Parts: sequence; C-alpha cells; structure tokens
Amino acid sequence: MGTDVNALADSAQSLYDGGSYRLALENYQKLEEQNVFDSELFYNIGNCFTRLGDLGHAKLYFERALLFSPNNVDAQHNLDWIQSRVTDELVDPQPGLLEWLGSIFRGQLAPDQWILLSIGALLATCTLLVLRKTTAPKLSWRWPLTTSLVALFFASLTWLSVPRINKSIVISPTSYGYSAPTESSKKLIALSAGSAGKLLETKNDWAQIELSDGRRAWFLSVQWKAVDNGPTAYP
Amino acid sequence: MQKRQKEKRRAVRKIGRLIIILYALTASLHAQNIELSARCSRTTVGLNEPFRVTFATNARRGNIQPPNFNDFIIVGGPYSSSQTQIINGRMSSNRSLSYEVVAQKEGEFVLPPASVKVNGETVKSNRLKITVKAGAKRKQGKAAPQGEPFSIDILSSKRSVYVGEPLILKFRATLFDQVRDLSIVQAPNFENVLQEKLDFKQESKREVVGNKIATLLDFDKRLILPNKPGTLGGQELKISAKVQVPTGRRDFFNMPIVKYVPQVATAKIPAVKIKPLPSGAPSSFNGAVGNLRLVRKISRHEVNGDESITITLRVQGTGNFNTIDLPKLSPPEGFDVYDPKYNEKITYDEGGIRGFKEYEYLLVPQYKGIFILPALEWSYFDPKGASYETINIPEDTLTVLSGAAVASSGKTSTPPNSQKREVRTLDDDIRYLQGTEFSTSKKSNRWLWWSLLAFITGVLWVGQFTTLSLRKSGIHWKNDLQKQVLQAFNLTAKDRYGVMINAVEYALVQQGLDLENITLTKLQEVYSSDNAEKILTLVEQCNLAQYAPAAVANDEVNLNEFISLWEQM
Repeated sequence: MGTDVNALADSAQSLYDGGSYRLALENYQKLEEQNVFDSELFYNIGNCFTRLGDLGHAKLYFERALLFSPNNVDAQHNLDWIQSRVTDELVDPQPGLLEWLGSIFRGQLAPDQWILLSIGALLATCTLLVLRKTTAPKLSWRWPLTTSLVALFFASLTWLSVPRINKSIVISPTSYGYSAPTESSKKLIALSAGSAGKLLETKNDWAQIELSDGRRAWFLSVQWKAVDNGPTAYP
Repeated sequence: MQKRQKEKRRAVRKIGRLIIILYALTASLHAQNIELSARCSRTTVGLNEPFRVTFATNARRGNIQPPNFNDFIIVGGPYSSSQTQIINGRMSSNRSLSYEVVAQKEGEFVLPPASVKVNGETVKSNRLKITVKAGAKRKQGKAAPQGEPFSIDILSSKRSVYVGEPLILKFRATLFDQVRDLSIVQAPNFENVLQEKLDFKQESKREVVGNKIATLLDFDKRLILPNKPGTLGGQELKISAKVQVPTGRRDFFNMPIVKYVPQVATAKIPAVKIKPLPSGAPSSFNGAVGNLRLVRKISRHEVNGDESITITLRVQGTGNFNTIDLPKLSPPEGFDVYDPKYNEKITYDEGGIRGFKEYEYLLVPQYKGIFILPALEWSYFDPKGASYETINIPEDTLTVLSGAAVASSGKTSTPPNSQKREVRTLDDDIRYLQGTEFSTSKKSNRWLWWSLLAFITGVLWVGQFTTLSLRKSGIHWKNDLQKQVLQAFNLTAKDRYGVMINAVEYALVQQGLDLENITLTKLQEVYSSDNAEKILTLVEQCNLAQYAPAAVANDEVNLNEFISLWEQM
C-alpha cells in the first residue's frame, strides 16, 4: 500500500512539474481518498488548486495543511498569497480559546506523540504502584501520584491538540447569503470564493454561517466546505 | 410783553446764525490747511520724450493716490520724497510722489487729479493739461538719428509660419552712448499666441553703424507660437532705458559728473503671416505641429499572472507641446488598465519647444493567454516639409504565462524614471510542493491502550488505598491499647497489670492465636522464639502481679519489656 501511495505521489509531482495541474490534483486526491491525512498532502493539493485558479479550494487545503501542522511555513506563505487575492475584504473568523491552545500544542507535538507520553507516564505509575505493593513498600505514594498527574496532563494535551476548527470556506465563485434557508427569502450577502465564516447550524441543504463582523446568513451548503470536515477520522 | 418776547426770539435767531457762520468759517479754514498739487516738468512735450509728473501734499498722513495714466506710459518711478521743517516754532511737512512718463500719441491730454485721504476727508489735486507734439521722428533700424543715444530693432526669425510653428522675436538695441536698464515698457500684446520669454546670455558686439561705432545688444528674446491663422506684428512697442548725460560739473578728481535720465524708444514688430494648416489632414491628426516622434515602449512581452506590464506612450521632439494631446492607449483584452501616470519635460529655446510628453500605463493581467495590443496611428504636421506625417506603430502581442484569472493587487510597480532602481519583490508566487513520501493513516488505537493502562492504574491505586486503610486501622488499635497501658502505669492504677495483659491478649487474638491454648510452641509459630519466650514471660508476670504484686519485679522493668515487645506484636 505504502509503495502505491508513494508511486502516486511521485506521479503527481511529475505532472505538477510538467504543468499538468489537473492530473496532478487528481492523483493527490486519490491519496486523500486512501486516508493519507498529511499536512504536506493538503499543501500540495492547495498548490494544484492555486495553479488552476480555484482560490476557494486552494485556501481550504492550505487551511487544512496548517490545521495539521501549524508550523508549516510554506502553507502559511501560500495562504497569505491566496488571502491577498481573495476578492472580498473580509477578515477570517478568529479561532476560539481551545482551538488556539490546540494549535499551539499541536505545533509542539502531534496528538499521537502527546498520547504516547501519557501512556509512558501511566506505565511508570503502574510500575511504581506494583513495586510499592511488593518489593518496596516504603516507597512514598507521592511518586506514583506525580506520574499519574503527568499522565493526565499529557492526556488533556492530546485531547486539546486534536485538529479542530470551526471554519468554513466558500469554494464556489459566488455564494449568496439569504435571510432564511430558502432561495425565495431575501438576499443579504454575496461572497466570493475564499471568503470564510463560522458554521452555526445546518438545515437540509443549507448552512447558517456567521461572518467575522457578526453578520449571519443562510448559504447553500454545497458552496461551502468546512476546514476540518475531511480529517474526521483523525485520532 | 409780546414785544419783549419777539425781541428775545430775534436775538436767539441771530446767535444761531452767528454760530453757523463761525462753524462754516472754521471748517473752510481747516480744509485749506491740507493741499495736494500736481505739476509736471513740461506741459508741452515731444512724442516719446519722458517728462516728470509730481504730486505734492502738505498732509503728514495719508497715501497719495496717483491718477490713471491712460494716455501715457510710466517709464520710471514712482519716486517718493518727504520733507519736514520747523520755522519759528511752526512745523510744516511736504511729501511728493513723482513718475517719469512718456506720451503714447500726439495731441492734448488732461491728466486726471490725484487724491489723498486724511481724517476721512479726500483732497484732490489740480488737473494737468499736457500737449504732446510730434517732436523729432526717429527712423527705425540701425541708422539712428543724430544725437539719439540708442535705437531698438525687433527681428523675427521667420516672415511666415504655419499655425503651431514657432518663431523667435529678438529685441536688439543699438547703443551709441552709455545706456542701461533697457526694458520693454509694454509686452507685445498678441491674441491667440503663446508668448514665452527665453532665458539666454546677453552678449554684445561692436559694429560701425552709419559713421559711428555702436554696441549691438540683444536684450530680449521671445518665443511666439501662434494658435490661429492671421497676421502677427505691426504693433509698436516702447522700450525705456536710462541714458548717461553729463551734468556739466566735475568731481573732486576733476572727472565729469554724469547722471542717467530715462529715455524711451519705439520699435515696430515686423509683420509675420500665420498660415493655416493645409487641408487633407489625416483622421489621426489632432493638432500636433513640429518635428515629432511617437514612441510606444512595452516593459515586457511575457508575464506571469501576478505580474504587471508597463506601456509608455511618448511624444518627443520639437513642436507645439502646449497644445499637443497624447494619443490614447487601446488596451488589450484580458488586462486591467490603471490610470496612467503623466510625465513631461519641456524646454523653450530658439529652436522652438523641445522635450517630451508621456503617459505610463500599468496593465495587470486577468487571464492566462496571448493577447493582442492593438496598432496605433498618430499624425502631425511637419512645417519644414509642409506635409502631414503619420506614424504607424504595428500591433504587438502580450503573453500571460500562468496564474491566470487572478486579480492582482497591483503590488508590482513600474520602475520609476529615477537613477535608482526600485528593488521589486520577485518572490511573489506560491511555494513549491512538499514531501514525497506519504503513508495511509490507520485509525489509531492508542486511546484504547491508554484507557486500558488508565484502568490498570486505577485498580492499582484502589489496591494501594485498601492496604493503607487496613494498615491504618491496625495501627489505630495498637496505639490505643498502648496508650491505655501507659496511662494505667502512670497513674499506678490497681488493675494496671490487668490492662497490660488485656492488651497483650488482644494482640495475640489479632494474630489468630487461641487464648485458651497459648503455649510457647504456638507463640513461636507467629513470633520469633526469643520474642515468643518474652511474651510468655510477660503474660506470666502480669498474671502473677494481679494476685501477688510483691513477688513481681518493679513496674518500670515490666513496662519497658511491654513497650519493646508491643512494637513486634
């Protein structure tokens, strides 16, 4: 499987180098379908979309690349490049406190690595408790308590660093915001590809989005994509 | 009675009349105090002969307002002077304002009065009647009449020009005496003509004119650019100068003392025919006349989608830049064209108006592809060849290589026309691909492992807590019993040995021993043989002490033995 994946990635890169961005994109999307959840893969998909002029999708994938790896400077550069070309002068929604903390800890270690640390601390606790019960009864109970607390701390960091962000991006050239989830209601806002907002709720084919300036409107769901919609299978 | 009243009324009327007369006299006397007079050096003057007009007043304050010299030209002044003198304690002052003027034509003229306003009252001067006679007629040209210190000629570079074709008027003075401060009293008054005074270095040369050596000096040059057909010239201009004349006196070193007096000369602008432009002008002609060139510069023919192109349209050469309109750029499809930046550099010299006018257009590509920059046609009239010239710039191609369909923010700017080149941002593109090795993400079961370990840890902690609580309860009864024993011995209680034996028996029961059947062998199963013997001895001592206290060793020995054994029990 790993060989197939890498062969596909090599092929995509060759196509990209040759200017066949559409075919390169298709190969990268095949990788995504094979559950390759990697910041670099999302970055490469974003590059293909950029070369094809699809700013909405390009921004979505650069955001995903940054969601998985907040320290990906290339993804940040390309996202800034896209942002300067997005038509709408609209600030992206700011992340919440937990999302912000999560991105900081995720920037230090991946969630998998945080949980490994927690498992290590738990193993240490178990060892100390067993020793205390058997060969070292005089061992202070404070030691296993400390390692238990460390394990709990690492576990909470694992939970925090799981990629999550409530941010959706317009992927169609234009998306109209209505006052109600029906096209017969009043048109309130017109957004261009690449604009972002927070998803509040969904109703049938409609999504209620809140923009960074507080305005709310109902948009057709197909015209938007959530940044963390893809990697739901992530631990 | 009535008579007396009538007499009184008459007297009052008489006094009133007297007051009014006195007031009127005072006012008239007061008005006579301020005087303003006008006088001139000569009331009969020759044409172009300067004479002096002076307005004098004895008012200490107030500005003298000169009249309007409609029929005269001021060639000097105003010269102002003031004088204050005290004679026999009486102070008087005198102020004057003078002008050097010349008459413009022959005839009799009346110079209107000047005025001065003092304390809200306006005092006017007398009018001056001046007769202007022809006097000595000067000949135009270099052959100045005998005795004239200088003469002026106006020379035109061309006798006939087209509309928009420049010509130069040169003002040349022929000086026979010492003359200074040559100036044109009235600038040529042309209609529909651009008139620009040229800067140049005045140079003089000496030449024999008639039978006298004269200095020829070009003191003024004007560029004339006619805008409409017709005839230019014929106008007579007056040029003033100060001429050196001897005073007839000599100074300390026996050198003659001279003074400069203003003099005016006239000169006629030569007639120049302004021809209209010939018919048959091409459609792209918009009034440009001269020797011109149209240049279209394209900064680059191939760009990426996020870069820009600068197209410069420049008209340069010699021509009527004051009226030339630059041709407009026909922008190619697929580009955003920003408002152009205008530049010009124009100099006026004897060759005409030189320089350039240009527009810099900034084009930002919108789509990927090859685009046609339309051809450009522009015409001008060449007065030398008396024909219309048409400049054709062929169409060109602009290629947008990549990054199409993106509206650039216009960050890429054109290099300015300065010596220092602006350092442009070249790294304005997305970065290259990342990583070549990927692996599929399997659903991680690390949380499962973590949960299992957490459960085990919890169980272990529960086990620890249970042991602790049991141990804690054992410690609790031992401490209580020991405390009771110590208390009984401290108080030397009668049943102190009973308390001690109860404690020992309770400890033995806790170890699972049957009190009814305590033997050394049984005790040795639980305790060490040494301790077993000591416990048995202590129990016997306690039993003995209960019934025969005298036979027992002292309390302190038994209590110490109890304490040492109690830790082991």
